[in-house]
Amino acid sequence: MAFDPVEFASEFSIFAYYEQGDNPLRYLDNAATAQIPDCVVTAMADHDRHYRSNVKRGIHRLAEEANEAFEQARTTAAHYLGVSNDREIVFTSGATAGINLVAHSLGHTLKPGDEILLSVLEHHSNLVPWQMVRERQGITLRFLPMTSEGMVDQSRYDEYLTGKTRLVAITHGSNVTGAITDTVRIIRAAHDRDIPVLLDGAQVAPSGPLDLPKLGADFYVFSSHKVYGPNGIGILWGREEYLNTMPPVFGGGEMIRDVALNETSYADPPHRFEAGTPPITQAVGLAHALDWLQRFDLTGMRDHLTSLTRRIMVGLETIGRDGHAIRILGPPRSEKRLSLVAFSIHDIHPHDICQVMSDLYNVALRGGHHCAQPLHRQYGLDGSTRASLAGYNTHNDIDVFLEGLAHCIDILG
Amino acid sequence: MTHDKLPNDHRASIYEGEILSWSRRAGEQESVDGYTHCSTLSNPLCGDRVTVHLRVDDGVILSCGCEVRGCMLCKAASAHMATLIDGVNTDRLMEVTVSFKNALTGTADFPETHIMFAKVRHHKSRHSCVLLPYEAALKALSGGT
Repeated sequence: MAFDPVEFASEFSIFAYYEQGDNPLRYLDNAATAQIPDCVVTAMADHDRHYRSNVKRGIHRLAEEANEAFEQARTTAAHYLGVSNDREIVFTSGATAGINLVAHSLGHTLKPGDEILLSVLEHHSNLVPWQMVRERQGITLRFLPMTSEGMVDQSRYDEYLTGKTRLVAITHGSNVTGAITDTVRIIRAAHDRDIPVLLDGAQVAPSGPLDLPKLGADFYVFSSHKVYGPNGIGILWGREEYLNTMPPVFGGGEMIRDVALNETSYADPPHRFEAGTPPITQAVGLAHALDWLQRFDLTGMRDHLTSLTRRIMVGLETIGRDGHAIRILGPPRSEKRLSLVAFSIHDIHPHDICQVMSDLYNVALRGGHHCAQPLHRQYGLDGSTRASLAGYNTHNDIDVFLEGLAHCIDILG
Repeated sequence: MTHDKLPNDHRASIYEGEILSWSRRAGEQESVDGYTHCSTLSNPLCGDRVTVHLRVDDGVILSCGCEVRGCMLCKAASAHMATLIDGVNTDRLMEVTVSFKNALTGTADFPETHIMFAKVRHHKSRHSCVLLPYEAALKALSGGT
């Protein structure tokens, strides 16, 4: 059945709850957190009502039920990523925790002079963990530049890959410019030199199931809360041959094989990386969200979101032609891009825009640096305003946003 | 407790009247000749930055200048503060800051001088925007840079 955003939206109670008078909620902050459908909330509540127990070592019936649900969630996440080996799926608290896990685990093996290759487009989550490793291990961080269209500049990529490069860690899609990274060359050239590649998939995973074997990366992370799932859980996928060689980062709980007073041997992946009681209920919720999402026509959803993205860009260009200096960050609308648009308006602060849009139009936007300060500095900006979309957004949402923005400029300009 | 609907809070725009006019006055006096105290503070939430210059003599603020890179609320609060504390005793700055904070958090009424910021009370994420210049001025007096 063709994708219908209104039908999609009907699965989310929050839109009825948050209606203010005649102003329906126009939620355009999905790149930060997407809303959660009622069925996922219900699935988590049902789990806690009927199957609540700790996992991994329990013998009683509830423990077995909980464990089965938890491991089934792992299988569901693996299927979503197109991989068949559940042992490559590590539950983390989110994409940030996944990158930190890789950084701090691999970090132990790095020596002064070793290099990690990043890009200037990275979210702080794929920057700060590596800076921490640099401080500890004395490694060097190198950064691929950005093109004028807000994409990772690969023109001199081969020069950045040196005999000292130990990992390429790069965004799969920018949360500011909306640019989708062309990973083919990045991965191929790295693999030609036996360098693993980590992709930050936080912004790409919500578009639908992935085919990681085809993509060819070695590590991939995403967060549940951006794919219509609960907070507090995410996925790190890593090739088994890498995970097997990586030391754990956190100790305690079910990540052990045997513990003596003075030494410990560790469980195999993925449990080695899941110290303490994992987010069991959230794992059930994430799995339910991934299954739920795949019931929809996702090609239709992506086409719909592309149409809305273009509508935003055309609208901003029109407002810009009326004499307001609007700068859209990222690729032109002729290029494939994520369904988000960040922009700046000369002399108007993003927080002022977001405040007016929320107060007068019930439109939820995000303003600020979006955890990408180095990227904004490349543009000479402190921050930007971002509209980011999900399946429940409609053409009407965009029209209200654009009408509100024009009014904003009248008030604030 | 369950709710079928969010209570309608009839939010109105903060951006009207005096706030707009004060924000437009930001930049009128950014620096102070012969300043004795200076401090810069940033708001980690949004990256806004305020630099306050004060010329103080014998415990009296003789002149205040604010250089603001920030939102309209921060600009309005900075320009307003610079005028308000001109000629007052340094102790008075702390009293004004405390009463402004208390008004924002709802534990006290807004003083007449700050009534234009009353609507900001309902926007907790913006309290730091209007308090930033006050914090910067206090930091300057305590010897910060």
